[in-house]
Amino acid sequence: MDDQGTIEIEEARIRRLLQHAAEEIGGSQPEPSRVKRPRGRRSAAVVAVTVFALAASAGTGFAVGRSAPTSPTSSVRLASLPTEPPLVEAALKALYQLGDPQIVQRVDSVEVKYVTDQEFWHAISHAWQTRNPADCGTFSGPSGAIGHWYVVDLHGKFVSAASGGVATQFASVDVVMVPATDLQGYLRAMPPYVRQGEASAPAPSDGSEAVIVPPASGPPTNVSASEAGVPPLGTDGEPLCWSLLPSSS
Amino acid sequence: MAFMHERLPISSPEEQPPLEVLMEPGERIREIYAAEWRRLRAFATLITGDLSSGEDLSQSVFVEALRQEREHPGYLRTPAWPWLRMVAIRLALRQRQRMRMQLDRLRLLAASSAEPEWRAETLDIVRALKRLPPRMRMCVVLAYLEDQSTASVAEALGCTPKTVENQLREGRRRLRSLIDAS
Repeated sequence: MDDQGTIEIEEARIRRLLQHAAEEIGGSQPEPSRVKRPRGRRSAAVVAVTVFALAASAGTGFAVGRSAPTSPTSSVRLASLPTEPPLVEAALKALYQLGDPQIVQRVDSVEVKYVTDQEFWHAISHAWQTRNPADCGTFSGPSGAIGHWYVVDLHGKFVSAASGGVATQFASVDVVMVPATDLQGYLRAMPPYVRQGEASAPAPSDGSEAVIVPPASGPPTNVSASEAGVPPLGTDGEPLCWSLLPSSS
Repeated sequence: MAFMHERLPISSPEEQPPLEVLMEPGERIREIYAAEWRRLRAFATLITGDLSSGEDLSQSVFVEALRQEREHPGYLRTPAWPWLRMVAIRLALRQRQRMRMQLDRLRLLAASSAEPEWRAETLDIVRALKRLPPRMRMCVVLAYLEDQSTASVAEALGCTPKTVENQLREGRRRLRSLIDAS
């Protein structure tokens, strides 16, 4: 059994080591590999957009169990992080750029989830190894895990060219990056939270104008404080970044 | 840490609202970010065991802070540090289960990532901390870096003070062994 004097000496030693370590870590610059690598990505920072089918009855895929409303609506309800409006707009814009505006027939809900670097990289790297490397060509290795990623899920009705133009229940995923080392700059450049989405929201099939509704009227419905930093998981327990790849089902 | 759950009182006509309420959420967070980012990164690095996870955790804490400030202006009271620290612990504890799931892939990543250029003494303590179980590591960092009382550590981690004492005793023993062996 340690005596009190020994304990105090040990505690003092640990305190000193921790203080010095904290000073050095806190005062150091970010790890070089996390700041220097140019990604060569598009200026919009939208690195990957894939629209794919998820049969609602298939029982697989990330749409299962989500809180997307089942009835069509003419609004897009944002229910997530407050930084999401520009991200959602980027996602919608990217969808339009796929070529056919009719691809978006209806958007029922939008979810934006924060994914940490490592988690994102792990999901992508594993997908790269086991599925379709071509879809992960933007990502080059562990040292490339730079930035902070947000997964934007659009739930609604879309048209897939792969399924012969037949509209069915689809989910779209967009992945947007915010530089890891410049959260402060990102916050500074962030537009006001409440904004109208008339320029980028998709037009519903009934012809009425879609409106992006900020979640000011109530608390988020599908992302809680407890989920901050936690990526959404699929039924297999893997992060939903898997959704970057077309569903094989 | 009662302030964490307090809502600001509604101001009477003769009262001025606290300064925090008058500031834009982004501005308030930027101010806190500038003041506390380095400290939070160091704290998060020590409780997670590596710089990359620490930076991720710190960013998650600030995302959460921004969300709270936008939903409840003035939510973050001065000083903000106790709240940031509490959220960092909460998120770190919550991430443990998922991290376990990804252990194999983490090992691959760890094998290929270079260590930061820290002094040998810093590397030794960070490596030694990393060898401790997460909860024990948090006990040690909270008690000896943050000078938190046993009761405060117990409250933050959701365990009894006796558990904290045991964790600290075992943590000291393991750290002594690990550091002396390095």
